[in-house]
Amino acid sequence: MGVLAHFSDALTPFHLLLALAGVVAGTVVGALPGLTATMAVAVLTPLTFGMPPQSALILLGAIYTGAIYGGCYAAILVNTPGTPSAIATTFDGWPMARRGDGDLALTIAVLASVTGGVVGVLLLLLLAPPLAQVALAFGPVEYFWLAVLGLTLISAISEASLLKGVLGCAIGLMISMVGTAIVGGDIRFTFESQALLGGVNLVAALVGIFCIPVVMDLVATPDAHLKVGQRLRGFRLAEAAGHAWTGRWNLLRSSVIGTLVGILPGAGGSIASLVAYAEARRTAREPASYGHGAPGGILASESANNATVGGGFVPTLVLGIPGTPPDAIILGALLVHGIRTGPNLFSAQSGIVYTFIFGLLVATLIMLPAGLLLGRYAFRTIIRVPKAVLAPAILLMTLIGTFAINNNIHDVWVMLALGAGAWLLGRAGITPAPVVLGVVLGPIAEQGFVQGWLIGSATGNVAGEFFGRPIALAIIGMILLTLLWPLIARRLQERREEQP
Amino acid sequence: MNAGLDLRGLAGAAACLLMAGWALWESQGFSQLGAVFPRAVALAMILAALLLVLRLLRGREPASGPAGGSSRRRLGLLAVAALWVAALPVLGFVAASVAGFLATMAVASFEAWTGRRLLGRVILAVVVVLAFRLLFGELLNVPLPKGTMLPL
Repeated sequence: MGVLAHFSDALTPFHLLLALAGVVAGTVVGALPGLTATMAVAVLTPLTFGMPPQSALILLGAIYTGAIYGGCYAAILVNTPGTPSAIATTFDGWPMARRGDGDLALTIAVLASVTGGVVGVLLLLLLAPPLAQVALAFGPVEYFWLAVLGLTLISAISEASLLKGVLGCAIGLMISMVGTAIVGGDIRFTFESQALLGGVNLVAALVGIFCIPVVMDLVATPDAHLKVGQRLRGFRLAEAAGHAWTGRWNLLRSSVIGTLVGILPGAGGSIASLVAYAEARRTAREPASYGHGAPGGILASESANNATVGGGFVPTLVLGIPGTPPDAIILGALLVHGIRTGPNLFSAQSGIVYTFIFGLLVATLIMLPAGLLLGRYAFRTIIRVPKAVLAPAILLMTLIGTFAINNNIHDVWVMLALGAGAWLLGRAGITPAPVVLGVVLGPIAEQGFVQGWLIGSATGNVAGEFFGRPIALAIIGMILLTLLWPLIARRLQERREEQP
Repeated sequence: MNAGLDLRGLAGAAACLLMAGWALWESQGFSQLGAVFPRAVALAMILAALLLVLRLLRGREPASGPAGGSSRRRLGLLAVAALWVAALPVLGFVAASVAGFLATMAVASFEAWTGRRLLGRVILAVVVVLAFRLLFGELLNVPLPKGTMLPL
């Protein structure tokens, strides 16, 4: 059976319907703060048990990609990432929505998500076995430097004061250390509470830190939640396509970054979008506009996080190691269907694998019309619903989402406490974004650092472990470039002006 | 007193200093592996907070602007949310959420409450909460809080 036959198998009416249903269901779940892509895939997996394996995989893949995309809705319209992958989308999406360009931001997000998703799936289709080797080449030290690269974003997202941004990030890192240490097993900063032994859940922290201050500010004034022009301007597709074309290199680079980060087990969409955002800002003509409603920020974040879907399937299918948490659930579903992952999968069960990959590609493309329609509906709903209804509805969703993470009321209390704390920090000029950056990157940075240090100590070469590995050196180069680029750019500009 | 002094910023820096000091104190009880990262972060925090205090005192940092709008409503919302969460394990999802939804609407509402508006909002709260209960609890099998007094 040739590759084209698998492609036509992915285009049967049943598979198209599954792809559409999966994308819509995933988008709706992903759009709700607290309900993540992992949860979307997990709650809908039982629906697939009676299906043929390739159909089940298409549905799960469509749910996954839809949920990652859906996270942008709450990020743009409510300043709360629907999923952790959409953290970086809030940086520019919310400012765009506040100034009356929420519809444009949503259309840019869907274009970026589709592009990123397609790039990720194409790389999965064409280069899966060699790309899987990248995952194996990444050790703890590389993860540590990757997290440090993400932390360089502080300068971009510290709205007025870099020092306050650094403090916010340090608070986030402290929050990430609560609970049992991953390496060593120390019980840290738990206030002797058993509920905190497992640490602060990332999603609970995200929802609390981003969403609660927003709802608190929402009820404080009678002003409209978002600015809107005198009339709604439709999808603003041509305008969004113009931004996508202008930022085409950003889009392509972010999609490749997303795919590569997606390949790394444990990294996921949040790291991918943060790293892509940092790179987009560094290479932008007007980096200062990032964080204040730059369309390039949404292009980078949304393309990178959707590219992790294809990237994450590379180690899942080739090595049997899930690249992201939803991949782990899909891996379980694969086993239920009797599919053994591994290097031979692409030859031994090529029919199932290629039909699934083509189905994922089709689902990603279906996301364009579905996303445009859903985005328009979401935007209209948000601007038309009165604040007196919007505030309790958001609060209700955050409570459901946070409770559902672990079926535990303690997570809801933690979410609320962090939200109140984030609001207080906001009064002192410490904004939520750097805090969340610390919460997301803290565990990866600490685990990578401590494990790298242990390996270096055991081999008697700590410096060589941290500074002597090729991939680590490449990431260190990117970190230095990110930090020093403003100085280099200024020097180049001065030279150009000095020349007659 | 310097009228331009950013007291909120100073309070934030002081809170960070306290937090970092506490983290350093707590880290004495950790193993070497478990202490290295908290200590590094706490020291960085102390350095950044001291620099911030210096810059704030010299007027070189942008002042934190006051939050516009009603602080009473903000704190009211927080109180309602806390009561809502506290009621969930007792009253169950539906009853606690209808009450919480209505109370949040009251905090967020700037119009006078007429009898007709009250009736409309009660109906709205019940419909929205039941719709969420049906969507998440029944269709998506997402776990929702069950009460000791009411199971739903």
